Amino acid sequence: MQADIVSVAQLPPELPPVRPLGQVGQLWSYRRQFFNGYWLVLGVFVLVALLAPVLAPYDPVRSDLAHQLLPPSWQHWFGTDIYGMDIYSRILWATRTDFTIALIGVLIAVAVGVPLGALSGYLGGFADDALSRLSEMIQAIPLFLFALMVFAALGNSSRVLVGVVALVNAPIFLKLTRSVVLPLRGADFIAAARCAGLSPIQVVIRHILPNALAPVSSQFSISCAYAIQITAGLSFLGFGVPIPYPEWGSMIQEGASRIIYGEWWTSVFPGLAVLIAVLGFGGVGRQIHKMYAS
Amino acid sequence: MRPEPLVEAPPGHIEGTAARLLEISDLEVIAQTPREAVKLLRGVELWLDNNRLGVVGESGSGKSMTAAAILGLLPPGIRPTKGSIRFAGRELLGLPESEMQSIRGRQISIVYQNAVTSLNPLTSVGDQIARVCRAHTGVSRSESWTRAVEMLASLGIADATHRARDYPHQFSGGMAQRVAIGAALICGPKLLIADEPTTGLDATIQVQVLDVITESVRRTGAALLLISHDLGVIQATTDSVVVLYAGLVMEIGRTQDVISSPLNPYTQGLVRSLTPKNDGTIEYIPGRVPEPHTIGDQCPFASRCPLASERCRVEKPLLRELRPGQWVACHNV
Amino acid sequence: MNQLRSLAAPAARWSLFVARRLGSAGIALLGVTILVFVVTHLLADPVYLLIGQRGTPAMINSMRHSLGYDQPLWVQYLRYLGALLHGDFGTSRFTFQPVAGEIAQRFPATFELSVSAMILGLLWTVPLGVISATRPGGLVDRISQAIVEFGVAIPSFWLGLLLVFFLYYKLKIAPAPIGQLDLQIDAPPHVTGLIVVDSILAGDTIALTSALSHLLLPALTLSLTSCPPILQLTRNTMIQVLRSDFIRGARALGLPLRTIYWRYALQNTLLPVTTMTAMTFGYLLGGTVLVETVFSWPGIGLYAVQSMQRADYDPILGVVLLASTIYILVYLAADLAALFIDPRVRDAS
Repeated sequence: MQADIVSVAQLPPELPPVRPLGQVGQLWSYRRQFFNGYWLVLGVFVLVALLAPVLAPYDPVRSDLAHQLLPPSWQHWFGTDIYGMDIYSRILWATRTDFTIALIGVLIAVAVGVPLGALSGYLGGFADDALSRLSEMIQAIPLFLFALMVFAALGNSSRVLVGVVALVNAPIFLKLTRSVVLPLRGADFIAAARCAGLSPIQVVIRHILPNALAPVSSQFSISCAYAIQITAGLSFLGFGVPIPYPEWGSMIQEGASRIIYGEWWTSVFPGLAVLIAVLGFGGVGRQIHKMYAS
Repeated sequence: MRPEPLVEAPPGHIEGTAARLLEISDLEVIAQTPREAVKLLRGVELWLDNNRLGVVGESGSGKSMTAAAILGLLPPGIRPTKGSIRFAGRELLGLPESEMQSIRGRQISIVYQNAVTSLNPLTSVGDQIARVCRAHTGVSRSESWTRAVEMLASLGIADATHRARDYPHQFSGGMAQRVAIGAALICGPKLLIADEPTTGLDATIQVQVLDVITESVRRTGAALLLISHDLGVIQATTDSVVVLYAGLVMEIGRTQDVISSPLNPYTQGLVRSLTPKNDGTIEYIPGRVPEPHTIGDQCPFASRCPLASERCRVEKPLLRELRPGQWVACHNV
Repeated sequence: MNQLRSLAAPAARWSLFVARRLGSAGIALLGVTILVFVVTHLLADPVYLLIGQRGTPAMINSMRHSLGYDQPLWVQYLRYLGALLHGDFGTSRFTFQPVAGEIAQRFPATFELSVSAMILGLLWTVPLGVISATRPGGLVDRISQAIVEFGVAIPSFWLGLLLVFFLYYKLKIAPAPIGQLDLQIDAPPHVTGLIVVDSILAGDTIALTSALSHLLLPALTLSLTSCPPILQLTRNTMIQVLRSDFIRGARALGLPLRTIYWRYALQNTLLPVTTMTAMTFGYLLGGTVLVETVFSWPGIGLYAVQSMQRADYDPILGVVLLASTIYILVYLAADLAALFIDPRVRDAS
């Protein structure tokens, strides 16, 4: 086991890179560093979501009991499910469902969490404490149980599902924004802006929030990954998107009972879609983080 | 990679006589970056018997790198490519890790700048010293604990029996340094390296720690290699001194000689900056230390040296004994 | 002995710390009850939940009055809180049994599953993390990073189904996902409610083997999807520790690598890892809903889902309260454990 572990005073400084084409050259190497397969994956998903009606060979909600549970074949690339519906088409259409719910949910979370976080960080004191406590409480309740509770209170619909996604992610954005705003509260340039006559709100919006742009974008992508998992999980349990509306999680649930009979395609393919989408969002989020960290 | 043998024997060394305690000859150490290899030490020479040798230089001069090279603890990507380090006649470069392990702490020890962070925060100081003792000798737990407590007491830590059970963060900087010295000396090494042991401590504490070092080294009969950027510290604690600049030795000699009458222009500049002029200003050496990768095979001080000539910019100066006991690397003195 | 001695001295200082943390936890608990209360009583009419569309307005009003739902909110809340403290978590509309009892009956199954998942998880994450850290960027490390990335992304219920497909249907080495025991085997006499423990106590090897084999897939699924953060943390912390000054110091003193890795380095890595392990465990105890559904595991997660499907709402709230309480308490315990493990925390507080 070899680990060279001495940290000695002086290591030579980074040598400046060779830049043959100046700015263009920099962008090119930038591209290699930061834009990679993850973006491609997400791009494919977005395209699929937009072009689903065109790409899907079959009607995603038309049941065809004569062709139930067919294994993957040339006619049905991913096979058919228990209602005879083409799984491939359903997966394509489900991309819309899942991505829409995830994106809207996270957008709401950002719209709620970021301002509240900025408020919390800037004002400090009681408001800060109260909001932090509230976030902690929401986060103390295990995710799926919390979601079940909300469904119990508000009924089982996709709107509530979006609400759950938003509610679960809002505290994350609140904490994130707060952590960006808090240290800047006493900064000199803030005091200068105030002296120049800017109101607190203007100060926050114009001078402080831009610093939060980068971490929030990174977290946005990661929250979308989280949101897709939540959506799929809750739909699997039967909450959110009603059957037969195509959604990855509910598709997995439909196929779950068939697994023990060896009919794997009904659950495996939608699950793969979830996995790849989550990996994509997660990877992009990390890449964005790397971009602003350098 | 087997280090190449010396081309030119260091002055005063005759084959066959008793080997010096520590002898570094023409040591070159490089840092391997993806693009090229950068020389960090470009032919370091020094030697020490049973005395106290100081190594002085600015940050980046290679002092700590030399200490790391002696102990075989160079960071990843940094390795020696040339020269030799002989300890009691034995070549250290190229020794397998298992043998180096038995030398560290037992024959050669080191204390670092920040003692509190150099110790394990989660075990008591007594346990840590005892562990070093047990690692190199076969004594029992209780015996090693007793020795640890004795060592702490002898280093001036009051109530050693109880203090041995305390954790590093419960010690002040100066006290923690005593603990570190204790761990370093518990096995009676022949050489103690002290790498900036007092930097960062209060002035009064600095004096105390230096006293502890010199006293304990004298008591255990070990030799001392003291690294510092502070010429004052060197003056107070060492018999001989090595002046390092950008990975090359500029001057070696008895401390009082080098400081009172330095021969190398860099050393002269360094010594001048020790004492403020009559009007209170400090005469500093103009310019800055060059980046390691910009220095080729030349005298690294050429860019700032008042005596610099063409030769200095193309040829590395070698150490010559200009006065008895004082070696200087310079083309122009 | 040494630990106790250094505990005795600053006792006054950190009993304040402990008191503050206890207070903090208490507030969090209270907050959760308020949240649950708010969710049920404000956002949805509880009487409506009880009677639904079957009642006339008159019935609804009289019910409201007799149940006390026309009282001011804070009065209702206090009564609710009082009931909770008496162990009254409501009644199931389906079985007409007290929810508290039903939860107590099902909790051991979730507990058993969570503990197994945790043990399994620690067995593969910690050593892998340590080995990855000794050669960052090496093969083992890259495999670890891939495992972390996939483990966090993969839906747990899907992974469970995959495992069922491969290990039960294809390879036939795992039992069918139908709960804790084979259908024809009787459970051992109830002592703790934990089947594995009870079967050991009763000397019932048949039940024990069956129980363990049924635990395998769900515990494996849970550990693969919830423990990767522990692997990541172990690896990252270990790397940081290995770069620290005191490891350099230890190596410079000639301490054997064995001691440096497995005592000095690991010791310092374990503190944050222990905290995260505690939190993962707390999360597991409430987060097994999906896996319990896939494997028909009779725990509180499945109970919550089944109740939802029957429009029986008290059980869900009971489970939410229990799971949150456990999470908060485990979090608190992890914080307090830090006091014992890290001498610096003791003195800093």
